[in-house]
Amino acid sequence: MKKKGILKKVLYSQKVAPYVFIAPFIITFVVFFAYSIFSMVMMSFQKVAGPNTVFVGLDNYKVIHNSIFIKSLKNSIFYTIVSCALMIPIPLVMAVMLNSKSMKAKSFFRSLLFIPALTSVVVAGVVFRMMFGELEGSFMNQVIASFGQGPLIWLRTPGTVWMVLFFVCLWRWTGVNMMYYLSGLQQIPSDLYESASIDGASTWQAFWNITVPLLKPTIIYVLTISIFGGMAMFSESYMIFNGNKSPNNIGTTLVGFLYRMAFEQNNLGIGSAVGVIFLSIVLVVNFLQLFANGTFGRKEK
Amino acid sequence: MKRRFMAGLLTAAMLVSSLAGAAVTVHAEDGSTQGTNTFVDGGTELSFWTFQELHVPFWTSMADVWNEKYPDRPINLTVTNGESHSTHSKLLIACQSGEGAPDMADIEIGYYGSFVKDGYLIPINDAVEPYKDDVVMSRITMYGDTEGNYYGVDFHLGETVTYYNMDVMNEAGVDPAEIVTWDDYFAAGQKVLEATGKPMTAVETADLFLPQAMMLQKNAQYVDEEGNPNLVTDEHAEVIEYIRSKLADGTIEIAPGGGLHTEEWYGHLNAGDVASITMPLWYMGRFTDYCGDLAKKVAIYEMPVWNEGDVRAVLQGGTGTSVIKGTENEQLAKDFLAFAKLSAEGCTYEWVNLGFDPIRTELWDDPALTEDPDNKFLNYFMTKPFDILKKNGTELTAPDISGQYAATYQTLVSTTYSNAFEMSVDRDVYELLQEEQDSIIY
Repeated sequence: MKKKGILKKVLYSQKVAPYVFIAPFIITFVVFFAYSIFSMVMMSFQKVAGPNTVFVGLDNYKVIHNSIFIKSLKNSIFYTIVSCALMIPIPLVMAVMLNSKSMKAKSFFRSLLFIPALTSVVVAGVVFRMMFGELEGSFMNQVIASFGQGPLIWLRTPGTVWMVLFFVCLWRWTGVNMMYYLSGLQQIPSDLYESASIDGASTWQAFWNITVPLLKPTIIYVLTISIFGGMAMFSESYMIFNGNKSPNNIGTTLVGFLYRMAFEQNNLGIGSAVGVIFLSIVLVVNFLQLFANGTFGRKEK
Repeated sequence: MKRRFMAGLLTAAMLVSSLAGAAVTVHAEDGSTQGTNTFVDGGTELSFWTFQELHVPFWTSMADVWNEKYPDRPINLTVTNGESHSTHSKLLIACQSGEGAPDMADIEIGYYGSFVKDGYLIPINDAVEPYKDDVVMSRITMYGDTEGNYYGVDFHLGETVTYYNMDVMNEAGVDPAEIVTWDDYFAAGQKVLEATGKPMTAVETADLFLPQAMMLQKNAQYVDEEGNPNLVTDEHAEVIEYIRSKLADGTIEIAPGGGLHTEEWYGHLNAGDVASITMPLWYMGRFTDYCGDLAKKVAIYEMPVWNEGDVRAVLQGGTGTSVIKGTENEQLAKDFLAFAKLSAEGCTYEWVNLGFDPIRTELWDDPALTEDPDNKFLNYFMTKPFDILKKNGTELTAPDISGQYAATYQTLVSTTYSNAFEMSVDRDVYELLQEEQDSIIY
């Protein structure tokens, strides 16, 4: 009788219950991620060679002086900044449009925009690679030819490579981000808009003063995952260039560089060092961003 | 405060876990296939990894032949095929951890150095010994180290030749048989350009076949004797300058798609928009597979040389099959490997089914092969590849893939040639090569 009481006490305890609920996540996290991170940090100080593994101190971190490392870091940062600039406002506007009462065929457009997210990036990469082929007959070259422009070598010129990568990014993730926004939008009570319209607010004012502030948590969430998603971009570039090798590394990202070091060149030590650097950058950037947005302090105010 | 800490920790956890999720997606499409030979009771189990589907039936049928010939040492071979990048990565990781590696594996030349440098392979010198006088040894010793051990055998000789589109040649009034030096070749290229507006040949920015062939003819390598990257050489600079000058006058183009194995390129080649290309003999299979319109229009001749009288023959590309350290059947695996790749049976299979120029010299004179009326390669091309093999003999220059070649290769095909031929064509070549060399991590 007493035993049952303890069990009941634990299960109904306001202190313990939350931990029980998050336990599955914590356990998988510890086993599959915390441990891997620990060994990654370990390996970043080692020359990994099977049984002949030795500690080499900070040698692996000398990679930060390598020109390709610097280039891929710059690429990743550039990609992150531009993709955030694209992926925050555009899906927001689309979500607001799809949420508006005067919009026709809402669920059709909603599904249409979400389909790319369900496509395998491998398939998408192959299709985009063909579309942006450099011969005159390729799809995009035919499109620009109808505007009287000459055929472009899309995938071997830095400017157009970035256009292609952002195009793929937009195509693929707009639907996902839009879904986040839509679920946020549906939680905004409609009486706010009603009273605003009674007070004579324009649509723009209602958007700017009601929708955006109330969507802030969603926007912050989308920003957080976009920052990480931008920094971790790899498969798009891998597929567009048919392998982890873009001409002159125009499309090599930090993760691509890590993959090349660790798995293509068998330098797991250096690969791990890049991984540690990468992890620190993403964490720092996101913490700064979350602090700036007041995520941590808000409750205590 | 505590709650704030927990919130931070959870955010970190979330980020990290989603991060790990993204990195693995590339392996998702790994559609591996398997093959086995006809099961033999009491046969020793051997596992084999390859990255090329066409190699699977080769290995299983060679295992059948082996079991027939050596009933006292039977094997049951299981061949697993997977996508190239991920198979090589898995193999490296398995070797590194010392667990889960197969007994034998196909390793592509670009990756080979990584395996040799860290000692994951078993020397096969003794198994190759009985075949020594019948085969071109430079194709075997190249998969070796500086101490004279060798670790792998290729599927083919991979002798580099030049493929001419004879429609274009005839239109321009050029006879490829008269071309001896590279200067002759590009003089003919000028004629072709004037008559047809088509480039004589194409150079890759995402691979290295043309510059490597030209360098090998000058006896220059990408790595020095200790296996360290050695890009800044006079020979390398000369080759780059030479190709640059031909790019400038229009006789060379940048291969559409950046390489000679891209969809764009095959379409371009098949349309007859380029007059000739210089590639190893195994490229015949690409013609028969992707360029149906060029059947009976392409002639194979020796590659041009720098100076009259030079040896024309170099070896390029390839896949070394090796026995992986840690196998329990070392001797059996080695003997089977040597048999499959070097015996008359194996080499015949490779030529007939895969179009690979045989590493075994006696087959070059075997009329059953050279005059075979059903062979799709002999029927496709206007000249016989065997004539070139015989003319060039067995003194063949092979690339040095030892030491840091794998890392060097990565740099060459991702940045060096892309910079040299397309992005920074005006950069001083020595400066460029020095910068490229400095960027190699090893």
